[in-house]
Amino acid sequence: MNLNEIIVNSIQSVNQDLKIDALQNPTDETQLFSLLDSLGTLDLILELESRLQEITGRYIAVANEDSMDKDATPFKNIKTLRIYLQQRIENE
Amino acid sequence: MSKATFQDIAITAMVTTVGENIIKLEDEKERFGFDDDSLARIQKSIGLKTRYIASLGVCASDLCVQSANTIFDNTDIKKEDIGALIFVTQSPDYKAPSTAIVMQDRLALPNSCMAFDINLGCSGFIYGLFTAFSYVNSGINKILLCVGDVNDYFAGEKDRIFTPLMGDAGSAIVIEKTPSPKSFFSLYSNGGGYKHLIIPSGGARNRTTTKSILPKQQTDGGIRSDENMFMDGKEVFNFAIKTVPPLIKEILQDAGILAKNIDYFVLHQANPYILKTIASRLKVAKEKVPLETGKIYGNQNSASIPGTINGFLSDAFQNKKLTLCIAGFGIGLSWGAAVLQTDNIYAPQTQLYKRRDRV
Repeated sequence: MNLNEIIVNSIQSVNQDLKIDALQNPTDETQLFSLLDSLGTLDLILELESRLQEITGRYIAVANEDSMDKDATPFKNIKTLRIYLQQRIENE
Repeated sequence: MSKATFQDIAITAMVTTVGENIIKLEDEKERFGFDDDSLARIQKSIGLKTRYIASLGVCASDLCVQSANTIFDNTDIKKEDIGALIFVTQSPDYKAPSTAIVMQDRLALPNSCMAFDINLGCSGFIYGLFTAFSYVNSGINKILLCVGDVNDYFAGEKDRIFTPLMGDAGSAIVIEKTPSPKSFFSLYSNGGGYKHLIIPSGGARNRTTTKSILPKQQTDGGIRSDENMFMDGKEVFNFAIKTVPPLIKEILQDAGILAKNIDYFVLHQANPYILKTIASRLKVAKEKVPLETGKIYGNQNSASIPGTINGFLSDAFQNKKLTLCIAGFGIGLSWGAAVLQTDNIYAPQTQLYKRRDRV
């Protein structure tokens, strides 16, 4: 499973509860941060951490000090999130 | 810069009283309009299980008076030796006078005891403790510090964003002159973030009107009035993650102590993920960072640090000499930390509120 699939599957899992139309079939440009509230963003962080641990066998902390910073967040869209997670996996 | 060092001043007693009604999150499905999915989501992401809520009409001062009386009934600390009573709360009995002054009479403390309130939330224990240490340092022998809130005073009754997180608690802490190693404090504020946690109306800036007290559906999904507490969850998360790790690194550096030599990091119990993230950032063993308080008791505001000590670390505090790092962060925005030692203090298990101490 590639990183993009992990992200999309995580978003769709979180969205089972949230039921946000724009998150049903998210694309690279889907604006995650503006669509998710703080709890939704936290849900997505936990979902990503759980799936990444299943696949890599190690805990990778997904939150960083910019997670909920509206200007600097890596959760801006799927593309920014993918780049961020790639770096996180390589550096952890 | 608000940094201070004190010598031969220490906490000698700490008691926390919580609301007497234990409410499970699932019992509040109807109140907050949660369906099974949203309930499961909150339990998973925030870990909420129960919260302890005081009955309607019980004030934060009632919880604190019970805590203080427990200290006076079970230790050698004498009421006549208390030189100051400081009450940190956002839910005072009255808009005026200071609740602390009313509590001076209820507790039968001497008239020579000065008393005043401090209006702060989650950073309030650190601010209150710093104030108490400062007064002892200036010559007052013993201080009674009370901290706590009852949330129905400011939390929207049906606000599913804020209210389900909160628990009612009131702690009493005695600080006194006694042989003790140095303690270190560091305090900060940033009023630029005042809108991230705020009760917008009901003060002198925005007066109470017929509109300000009406609950209404808000864009974040919560139902609350302008006289209820608003929390911007993303901003508060952002603030905590950015502010607390450097704050703790700084206070450890000031104290000249390594993280591995701290017995417990008792942090304001905002939410477990924030605490886990902070612990991971500081590379601190997770067993040194208790994080269960919010799950069991709810967010206890200014009482959450003593609430964690009495709720989960009572044995250790009553039977050991401990080196602590404590940190509070929240409304204002305001934040602070301290490194200090406790030595076999009186710190019994958290107790439930009993009606006898009410006015």
